[in-house]
Order: sequence, then structure tokens, then C-alpha cells
Amino acid sequence: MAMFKKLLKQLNRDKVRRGDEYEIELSSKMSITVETIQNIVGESDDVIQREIKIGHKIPATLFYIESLCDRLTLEEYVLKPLLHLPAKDAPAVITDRFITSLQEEILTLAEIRVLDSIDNAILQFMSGKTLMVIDGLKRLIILNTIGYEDRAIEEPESEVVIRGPRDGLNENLKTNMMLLRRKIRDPNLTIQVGSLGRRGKRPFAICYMKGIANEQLVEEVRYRISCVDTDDVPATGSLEEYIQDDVLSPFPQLFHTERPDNCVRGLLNGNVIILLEGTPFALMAPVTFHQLLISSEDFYERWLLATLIRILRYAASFIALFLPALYIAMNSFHQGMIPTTLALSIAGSREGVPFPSFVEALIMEATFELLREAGIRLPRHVGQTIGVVGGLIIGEAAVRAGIVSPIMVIVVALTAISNFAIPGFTVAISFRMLRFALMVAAAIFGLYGVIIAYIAINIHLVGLRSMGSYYLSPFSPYSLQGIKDSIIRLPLNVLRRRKAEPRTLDDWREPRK
Amino acid sequence: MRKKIAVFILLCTVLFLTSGCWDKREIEELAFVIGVALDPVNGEDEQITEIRETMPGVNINNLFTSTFQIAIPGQLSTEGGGGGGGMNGGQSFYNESMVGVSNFHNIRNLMNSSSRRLNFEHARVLIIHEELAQRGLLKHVMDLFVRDHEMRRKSMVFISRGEAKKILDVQPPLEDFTAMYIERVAENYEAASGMMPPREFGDISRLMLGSVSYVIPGIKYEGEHKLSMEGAAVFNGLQNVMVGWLDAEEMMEYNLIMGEQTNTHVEVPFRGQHFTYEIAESHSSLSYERKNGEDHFRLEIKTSGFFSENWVNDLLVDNVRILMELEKAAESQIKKEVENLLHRAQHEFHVDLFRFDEKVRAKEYDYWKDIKETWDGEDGKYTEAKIDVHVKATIEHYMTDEGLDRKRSHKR
Amino acid sequence: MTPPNRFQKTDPFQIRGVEMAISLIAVILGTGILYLPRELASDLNTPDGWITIILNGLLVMLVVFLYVRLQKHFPGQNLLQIIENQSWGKWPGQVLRGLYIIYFILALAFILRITTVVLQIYLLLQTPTIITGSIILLTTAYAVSKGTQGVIHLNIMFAPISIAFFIIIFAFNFPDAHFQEILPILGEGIGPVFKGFKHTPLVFLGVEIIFFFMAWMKSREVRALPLNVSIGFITLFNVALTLLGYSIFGFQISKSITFPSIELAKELEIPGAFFERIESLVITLWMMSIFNTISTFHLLAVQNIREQFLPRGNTAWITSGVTFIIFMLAFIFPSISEAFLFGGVIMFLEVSLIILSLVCGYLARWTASMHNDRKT
Repeated sequence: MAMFKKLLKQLNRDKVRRGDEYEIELSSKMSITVETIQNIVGESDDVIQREIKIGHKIPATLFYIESLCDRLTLEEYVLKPLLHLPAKDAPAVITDRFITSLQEEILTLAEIRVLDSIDNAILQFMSGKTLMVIDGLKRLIILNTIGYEDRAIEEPESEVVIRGPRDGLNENLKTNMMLLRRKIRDPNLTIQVGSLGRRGKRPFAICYMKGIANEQLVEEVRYRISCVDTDDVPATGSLEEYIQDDVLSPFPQLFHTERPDNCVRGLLNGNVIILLEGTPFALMAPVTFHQLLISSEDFYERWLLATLIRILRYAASFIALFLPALYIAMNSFHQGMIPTTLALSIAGSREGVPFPSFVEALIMEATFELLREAGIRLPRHVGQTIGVVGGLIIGEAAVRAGIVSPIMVIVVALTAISNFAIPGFTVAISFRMLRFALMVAAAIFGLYGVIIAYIAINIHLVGLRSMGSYYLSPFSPYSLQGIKDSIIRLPLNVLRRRKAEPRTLDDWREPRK
Repeated sequence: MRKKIAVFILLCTVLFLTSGCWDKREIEELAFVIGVALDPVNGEDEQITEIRETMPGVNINNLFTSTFQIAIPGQLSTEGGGGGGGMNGGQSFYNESMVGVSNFHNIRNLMNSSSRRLNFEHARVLIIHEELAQRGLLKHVMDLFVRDHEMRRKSMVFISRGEAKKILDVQPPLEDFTAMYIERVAENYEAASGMMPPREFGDISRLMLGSVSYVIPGIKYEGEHKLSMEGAAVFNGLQNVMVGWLDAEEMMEYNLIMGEQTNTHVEVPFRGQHFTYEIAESHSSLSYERKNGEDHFRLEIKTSGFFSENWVNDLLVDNVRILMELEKAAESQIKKEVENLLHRAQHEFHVDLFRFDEKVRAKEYDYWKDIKETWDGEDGKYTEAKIDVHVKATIEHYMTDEGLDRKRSHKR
Repeated sequence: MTPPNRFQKTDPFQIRGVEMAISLIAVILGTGILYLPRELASDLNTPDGWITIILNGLLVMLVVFLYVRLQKHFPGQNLLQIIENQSWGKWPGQVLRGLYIIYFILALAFILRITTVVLQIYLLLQTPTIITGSIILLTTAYAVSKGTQGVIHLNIMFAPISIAFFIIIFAFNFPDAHFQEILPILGEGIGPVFKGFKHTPLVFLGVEIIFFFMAWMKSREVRALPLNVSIGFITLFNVALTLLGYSIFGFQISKSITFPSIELAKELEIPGAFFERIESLVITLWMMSIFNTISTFHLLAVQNIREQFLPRGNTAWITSGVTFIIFMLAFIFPSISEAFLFGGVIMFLEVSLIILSLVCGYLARWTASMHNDRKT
């Protein structure tokens, strides 16, 4: 274990912050300040510098980035009031009073900030705001004129539901926050924004419900994110890798979702949601194993159906994980377990196959993974065709050529279908990986190998935590409250308490009677 | 650090490489034995002479022939696979015989010429020639099948009248394998007449070691495409020797006494002609009492069933009096047949086929300890036991409405 | 920057009452159920062994009850700590700990050997037992690396699955049972029932874990009832197994069947199901419960050795050492019969340790209360 701990330390190696801070004093002379700013950003051609005279006398310079700035807003709400300012209103010498009146009386823009540090100002400027330098002012003025094209709110493609809201998160942090706010109009919904990455400076938001979420958990999330110090965190997937508990685990330790309703459910359960600019996936922390196997739709359908579907999903994960391994074990070790007629027909169909079942299964499973990967890369319409054609033709041809037996094709197809039935994409990937490990175990020791591998996976899961929460809750540690909403889902009026993990400040969903 | 990982990976690889093939046997590399037949050896031929020479200590009377029915899976699959060798012209099995002094010896000998390893995990049927059973060899010829963990405990055992090997040669018209055919036939015992519930390896091992007498269903060769299952071989539990046959006609009574759920029928004589009484349900209960140094049993049989077929002229089943007469006739007929069978068991076989001993043990344990060795046998206590038979037969309906139901209710 | 696992340390692990009860079932249902009916049948010569099991179950319940009463006075301490904290207790406590270490290691070796034999007979005929045994031990060593929390949670994970499967076996076998076989009850008098006490403690092998694990429980949750429900369940389970064994195979045969519970599984054939013969499956699932037994004992052995001899030692090294010793011991016996005889030694050790522990424990309670009285 010590070995792994060392490796973990290495993976999370401390990095020294260097080269991204400008320790520059601001000057009250505009020309110096402008020169400083030009030194920092002037080489880019999309940085526009515009010089004006406020109220026909005070010289000022506006910097904005053409690609991020909404020109209309700039013209209408910044330039117009400033340039049309009557000369009598403009003082000869810049005073604090004038700056206040600039904010309070002159500019009709929603967000105006006066900043003392050039660091901060440049960061805001780089996200698309306009930077104004006024001659004789030792401070910088930031005007929010951001305006750029966004994707519309669309139905999330990775998590489709039949009955339920169709809106999905998109790449814009603001939109995502809006989506959450619109669903929870509780003042306790707290959203805290920060920026991530030395170079990327990507804004992110930590959202939680005050009064429900455990403060320790929020603190832990904040702490772990603050430990991330790298150039850029392009997506929540990369963020997950930086802040997860166990780097070597095949299981996802944070929950990805594209659906705002999933986020809302998480928030109300006491989880913390992390939104990141530039990715439509939100991260939910902590996550337990069974949460990966439920879909938001379970709560929109009636409870009996939801329960049956959940049982089906657990069965699907069992098949996705074990079926090829069991096939190998049955074929190579425990022929007596299969009914006689089936055993004989399997034997008959494998008559011409030159490979042992393990190799046969490996060939087919690898082929299937290949098809799946190819299907993602190919253009969407072609991709579907390849899926069908590849599956059918290759399967059929392989059987005819005597490389694999027809039953193996059924096994592979069943495994694949079951894998797609698992709602959490990330956990489906874990199952895909573990499936191969189980196949190897089955090829060496048959059923004994399978069970030992299963036990080993369980040992790993029992030791796994997600942000301090037991991964296998509610099964172990056992919680009756949690079991009510796990493999089964009881009617909503029975689920009166929140889940066992994460521990919350307020356990009750409904007023306690 | 790196070294540790390297060692770990090396260990894993070594484990993987060295361990790959201990128990691994691919399913297509096995020859599945689905049925076994055991026959005595009569006369002298080369093989027997050879055995006599190589194993001088062995009692030559214990020699027997094992016949194995081996499935040809290639013949089963309709597509792919390549269709196996056409050795039997499309037949999906072949039979192989071997002479020897033990089953194990025979199996190992057979492997000398087999391209695939024999596997008994799907052996479903074992047929033993009556002569082997009469010689008291049942315990020995069954031993491997009961002991070995590869064998199932649910495989069926039969005693054959005539050569057992020939039965495995029967080519069933409907099934792929003779063994399957036998199994399916045996499962039909509820609807057929003259059959008893099949005996499985598990039962046999219990019965053989339990020193109580028992019966094993019989089987008979009827022709190239046909076999039949009727009657049962009676065994003396102490020596595990076969003492005789129950006929097909007696199986109905056997089932009634044992209280086995069977769907059987009785042809009941009535007014010089007869009708058919179909027994849908039957229960038997036995009570035991020891009085004046004698064993008294009271056997009660309750049946209910239908009036299925009428061969009596001018019989209008339309009132309760006639119905009661019919029931009486059925009762006396059943009672007569049951008593006949009990008499045969007591005075011809001298063995307690019906597990009456269990009652004695449960009720008079001390007495039972004294007599348990002499319960069966020619002058055993069982032959002296008094058995009262009481039969209660009810006829539930007539199939056709002959106006009875209405009148019956009217009278009430 | 510290590695991001600060949060975990602020969250103390606790065992809840239900969890302890489930763990108890998971640990105790191990080897005993495999061959007890045979031992009872061949030694008692009457089918009355099930009465002994019930009586023994009641005795075990008494032990649990007594210990829980003791534990209530010393929350957060395990038995050995209770004893060692007394003024007289240093030496007795250490001797007891030493005996427990020996007991755990011997029991582990014994269980491991039986397990490998079962595996060889029913599952992997050609694979050397040394390989199968070492794989189990490696797996349990991995489990031990997860600490008390890991082992307890594993017990909770696996117990329901194995219990469910055994219940299925019982349910399917029930219609075939000839319960006349167990009659007459007490046919040979009461004598054989007491003779059976030589064998029945084996099915309760593992009760002593409560001496160690109950220290992890909140004092509010230290109650005897859930634990005794578990013991009752285990008793019932073994009685059902014994009775079914006798009535399915017949009493005479039960004397000669080595592993009746697996043979019961063999009796079961489900026509039309995907698996026709389920005994391999049953052994596979039984592996889970045997794994629970082994991993729990392994953990306790390692923890006690660490506490006694190497308080600053590296747990990983102790685990490897213990693993190696168990492995060597397990394969000393030349055949299974010797291993069964060895079972008797372990049982004797277990019973005497339990009695000794309780006596010492109550002595500790008495001296502690004397001490308190003097203070006030």
C-alpha cells in the first residue's frame, strides 16, 4: 500500500506558482499605464485601443477585445454617455467624486468596477470586459461589455430521458447558473465563483445548499480545487482527475451530469455541484456507487416501474460485468452446470472453432470495443451504419469463417446492450475495463477466479471514498434509509429522509412528524 | 519503487503463464457420456481370457461390460460447425462397450481409443442388467457413480429385463439420444400405467446404504425404435440383492400404497361387466401398533377420481345409490389388488418394500433396535405382520352430465 | 500541498448494532456448516444432534449477553484493553492476547485447509490446493490492508448474498425431505445430546470477534438483542441444515457424506433454468462467506500481533508474515482426516478462551468498581 501512496503523492506533486503575476504599480499618468497595458496585451491584434475625451476634455483610453466585446453595448452605453457628456460636468482634475458620479449618474451600464490592481483588471479584461484608463486616475475602470455567441440550451445528448425536462447545461457558466437558479428559488442556494488554471483562468462555480450541505464537505471541495495548480483545466473530466480520492481506481469518484435536474437533485441531497466554464458537464461530489446506476427519470416515473427498471439496470450491470467471464468459465471449466442440451449445442457450435473460449471471447470483445470507438469518431450518420453493419456483418462472417461460435456473438451482443443500459457513462466504462480483468480470471481459475476477482473488486470499493463518503453506501455501511432508494425505489412519500451519504445538516426532506 | 512494480508484474505474468491449464478443458474437447448400460459377461472370449491372465486375483464372475452412449454434438448443430463425421449416417450418438472388472477401469480403457476425454457430468441414465442385480453386484457397479463428484445425483437408474446394451442401441424416433428418450419416458410416469416415479442416483445411494428394501423401475427392449418401461425390480435391502420383479399391473398398487401422486386407473368389475375408475388423487396413511407381541399395521388409502369409461350396459349413472355402489365396487377392487401385492411382498419376496419399518422405528424404538436385522427375510418379522387395508374411493364426477348433480342436490 | 485526503481523517469509523449483527452471521457461517451434520451423525449415532445445536446456540447467546453487559461498562475498549487497563491486568492481558493470536492463526490454517479441500473436490480437481489456498490468502491480505472498516463493510456486503443462496437451497430441498428419518426424538435418551457438545462449538467458531469489534460501537448501540437474533438465526440455520441432511440423505448416509451441505446443493437440479446443476455456483458463493471468516480472523491476528509485539511495525509486513505462517501451517496436515482432528483442538482452544476471557473480564469489572468506590 505504501507503494501506491507514494505514487499518489507523485501524481499530485506540488507545483510552484510562477510567472503569472504582474507586480506593477499603477501610475496616475495615462500614458504610462497605457504603455504598461500595451506591454502586456498589445501584441494581439484583436485588442483594440480607443482613445476618447470624456466631456470633451478628460483624455481616456478604452481597451477591449474585439472578439469578446459586444460593440453595440460599448457604443450605446459607454461611448455615447461619455462623449456626449457636457463639458461643464467634466472637472478639470479627476476627483473621486467624478468617478462616483461616472458610476452613479453618467454610465448606463449594469456592471462597472473600479480596480486598484492591474492583475485583477487584466483578468477581467481577458474575459471580454472593457478596460478604461482615465488620465490622472491611479485606478482602472472595468466595464462589462461582454457579448459573444453561445450555444442554445439543448437536450443533453448523453443523458436522454423520455419523461422529464429537456434542458441541458451548456458551455456557458452563466447560463448554467441560470438553469440552477431557475429551479431552486431558495436564498440558501449558494453559488461561489472562482477561477481555475494559471493560464486558462477559467471561471468555475461551487454550488451548494446552505443548511443542507455539510460545511466540512464544502470546505473539502474548496480546498481540493484550490490545490489544483496547472495551466488550464479544460473540462470537468480533467478537474475530476485532479481532485478525486484515488487516482488508481477504475471507478469514477465524482458524478458527471449534463442535466440541470440531476444537479438540483444532488443539491437538495446535500451534494456540492461544480460548474466549469467551457464544458456542459457539471461535477457532483460526493458520489456513491448506486447513484451511478440511477437515472433522473426514476423519479419522474411511478415507483413500481422505477423499481423494476432499477432492478433491470442492476441485472444489466451484472451481465455487462460477468457474462463473458461466465461464458468462459462454463465452457472451459464447468461444463456440467449448463443444461445437457445446451451444453451439447454449445459443444456442437464450437466444433470448428480453433481457439479456446478465452481467446474467442477476447477477439469478439476487442472487436466490439473497436467498433464502438470507430462509431464515435465517424460522422454521426455513418457511425450508426457502421455500428449496425459492423456488428451484423463481422459477427456473421466470423461465425461463418469458424473463428467464433454463434453463441459467443450472442454473449457479446448481450454484454454490449447491457452496457448501454447503464445510465452513468463513466461507470459503464469502469465495467468495460473490469470485464476484461474478469475474463482473464475466469480463463485461469473458472468460477473460482471470477468470485475471487469479484471479492477483490469489492475490497477495493469498500476502501474507496468519494470526498470522504463511503462509496458503497447504502449497502455497506448499511442504511435502511438508503436501501429504500437504491435497488428499489419506494414511493416518494416514503422517502422522507435524505440519503445516508453525504451526511447533511438537515436529514429530513419533509417536516418530521 | 519501479523495481517493486516490475516484480509485481513479473509475478502476475508467471502466475498467468504457469497456471493456465490445470483444470481447463474446452467444452468441445470433451466427449459427453449421456447414458451408461451395464451387462454381465457370459461365455468366454479373447478379452475375458486376457483379463483372466493379467489379473489372476479377480473373481471372473464380477466381470461386466460397460456400454457408454456418447453424444456427437456436431450432428446436433444445424449450422456452422462443419457437421462432424458421418460415421453413423447422421445419428447424433454412438455407443462404445468395454469389458472389465470396474467401471473406472473400463472408462480408462476406453480413453485409450478416444480422441476426446470422457465426461460424465451429463450422464443422465444408468441401466443395469437384472442378472448383475441378482448376483448382488448393484452396490459395487453403482459405487463409482455415487462416489464420483462428476456424476449428477439426479441421473436415473433402471434395471433392464434382458440385455441392457441393446436398450441403448434403440434409435428413438423423436429424440436425439436414447438416454434422453428414456429420461423423457420416465418423466411421464404420472400419466402412464405400470410405471413408478424414477429412481435417481441420490435415492439409490440412500437406499443402498440404508439397509431397507426398495424397488428400482424396470425397462425393456421392444424393438429397434422402441423400448418400454414397466414393473420394478425388488431388492432386499440388507444384501442389496434383487429378489424379484413387480409386474406392470402391480405398479398401480405400489404407487397407491406409497402415496405417490400418480394419475392412474382401475378397471372395476361391476355387474358382470366393468367400468374404468380414474384415480386423480390418492393419499395413504399408515398407523402401527404393537399388540400381544404382534405387529399390527393399518393402511388407509383414500382416492378420489372420475368415472371415466363405461362398459356396463344399461347403467344410468343418475342417482346417489348407484354412485355409492360404484364406489363400493371400486373400493373392493382396489383393496383386493392391494392385498394381493402386500401378500406377495410378505410371502414371496419376504421384503418390506413399502417402508413400514419407519413406523416401527419411530414408535417402538427399543423393539426396533432388536429386530432391525431380522425385519426382512424369509422368516423375518415383516412376514408375520398383520396388515389391515382400508380403502375409501370417491367418484367426483362423470365427465358427461347425466342428470345426477341436480337430483343429488334435490334430495338434500 | 498535502495529498487530498484530509477529510477522511475527520470522520471516525463506527460500527452500528445491525452491522455488528450481520457481521456476526457473515463470520460464523463458515466452515462449520460444511461438515457438522456428518460429525454429529457418526459420533452420536442418533439423529438427535440438532438438539445439541439448539442448546449450544442458547449457551452462545448467554456468552453474548454476558459480554455485552461487560462492554457497557467499558465503552470504546476491547476485551483485552479492559483487562490490561486494570492494575493486575498487564500480565493476564498479554497472556490472553498471546493465546488469541495462536488461536486465530491455528483456526485460520484449519479453515484454509478445509476450504482448499472443498475447492479441490468440487470445483477445481487438478489445480494444486497450494495455489487456490494462496490466492484466498492474498485476497484476504488485501482486505486486511483496508483495516477494520474495510473488513466489517465487506462482511455486510457479502452476508446477504450467501444467506439468500443457502435459504434457496433449503427451500428447494424441503419438498424432498423425509422427516421420518429423524424420528424417534431422543430414542437413545439424553446421553448422546450431551456427547454432541464435542462437535457443535465448531459451528459457532467466530463468536469471539465481538470481544474485539464491539469497541468500535457507540455505547448507545451496545445491545445484546440484535447480536442474539443473529446467533438465533445461525442456530436455526444449522438445525435446518442438519435436519435436511438427515432427511434427504437418510441418517445412515449422513455418517459417510463428507460435506453434506454441498451434497444438498447437488441434490438440487432446476430443469429449465440456465444453470442445471448449481453446486459449483453454491461453492462459489460460499467462498464469499468463507472469505469473510478468513479475512476477519486474519485482521484480528494482525492487529493483535501489532499491538502485542510491534506497536510501531509496518502493518503490511506483519500481514505478509502472518499470511506466510498460516500458509505453512495449513499445508502441514497430510490429509483431510488429520485436518478434521485438528478442528477439535481449535474448538477446545476456542471454548477455553471464551470462558477465560469472560472470567477475566468480569474480574476487571469487579476491580474497577472497587476502585471507583474507594475514590468516591
